[in-house]
Amino acid sequence: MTGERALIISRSYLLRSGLKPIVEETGQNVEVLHSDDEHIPENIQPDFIFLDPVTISFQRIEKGWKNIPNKNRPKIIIVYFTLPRRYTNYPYLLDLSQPKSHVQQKLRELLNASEVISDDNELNAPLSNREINILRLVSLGNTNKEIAEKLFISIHTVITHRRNITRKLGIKTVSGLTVYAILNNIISPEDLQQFNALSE
Amino acid sequence: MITADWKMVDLIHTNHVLIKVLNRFDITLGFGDKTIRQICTEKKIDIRFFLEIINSFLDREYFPKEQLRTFPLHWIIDYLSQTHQYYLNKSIPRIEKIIHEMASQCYEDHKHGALLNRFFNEYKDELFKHIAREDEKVFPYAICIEKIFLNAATAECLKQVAGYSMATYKSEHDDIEAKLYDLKNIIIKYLPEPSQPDLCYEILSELFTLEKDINDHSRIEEKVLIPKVEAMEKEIKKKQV
Repeated sequence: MTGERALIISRSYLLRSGLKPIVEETGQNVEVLHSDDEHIPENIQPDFIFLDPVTISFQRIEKGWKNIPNKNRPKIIIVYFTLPRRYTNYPYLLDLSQPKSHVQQKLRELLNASEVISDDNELNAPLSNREINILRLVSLGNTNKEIAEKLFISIHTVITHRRNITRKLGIKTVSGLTVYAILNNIISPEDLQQFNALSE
Repeated sequence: MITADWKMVDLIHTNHVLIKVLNRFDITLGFGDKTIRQICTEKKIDIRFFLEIINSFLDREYFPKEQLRTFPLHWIIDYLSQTHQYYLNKSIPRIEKIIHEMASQCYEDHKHGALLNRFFNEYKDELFKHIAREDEKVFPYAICIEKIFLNAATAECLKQVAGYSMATYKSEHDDIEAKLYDLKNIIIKYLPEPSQPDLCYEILSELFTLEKDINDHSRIEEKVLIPKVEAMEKEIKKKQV
């Protein structure tokens, strides 16, 4: 799963510290956060939750998404050493007593076979033509507003595209994107010089 | 968890990168079998402060920000300043040297080397500016705020704090880690295969290490320094009213 966010919720320091690196290792580009209580701040918006039912209330967590449609809800994965009876038929389970290779395999299944995000395949794809255009304009020093005007789209759309570009490429800054653009012949060094000359 | 009765040598065996953290406390090698307690006492370093910094560095999950905020401001600032000196005088020059070598020797097409150099120079400038801002403005400001808070204000101090605040610092505090992140990815993913891969391994090792160090450093600035100074600013404002 690329560009996703996972949240580990457990009051056990050992469980959080142990699970975090394995999830990071297994998921590509998954940002792994952790918490030791049931309160999930608004801005977190995880795609996956690893929940320890022994120390955290499943019901309380699930309640947080009561009013959200199913497809926008995070996938809640129950982690356990001994599975509490009531979860026997729960679909997303991770048995922590297994050896590392089993845990990783299970994690790969849980993180990949996702009904939650459908555009994750997008993140593995090369840049779309639209994204390449935007990248070109960004490298030439255009602001979001200028890009929006030149392409007749909204600033919000520009920002979304830029975010996707960053996630796909793993490059955050404008100068980094400029280097990428030059290396991939999206702009030439002369284009850049012209722009620099204009802005002086 | 490292405690005061550990031998310093065992601390290094736990994680050798701690040697550079020791340097920031002016602790050098050759300390034999002495314990942390002995060395700190000799060097007049507060043991609790030393241990909190070391343990936070070792374990990302351990960051007792409330405890850290209770330490005297100038200890925190001294530690942060020493870290700056390390970046300025050791890390960056070392990295720069390797980057220059890579740029001139690794890539057939001259433009690739040029791009690498240029990107690194931009990063270096940004980092140095960021550090200078903190050394020349933010840290002296914080020290003065503490003086005023302790009713030991001087005229010089009052001038220093005029027109500045932690709020200003927060708004200026840019993301210096982003460019470093990009530099790594550019070298790993997007520059062509280098003719001397060993240089690349060396540089990446340095970059990853620097990134972690800067992350820890920023964490102390954001979660310890800023809240501590903000609390004092608030008290001062209250008194003024």
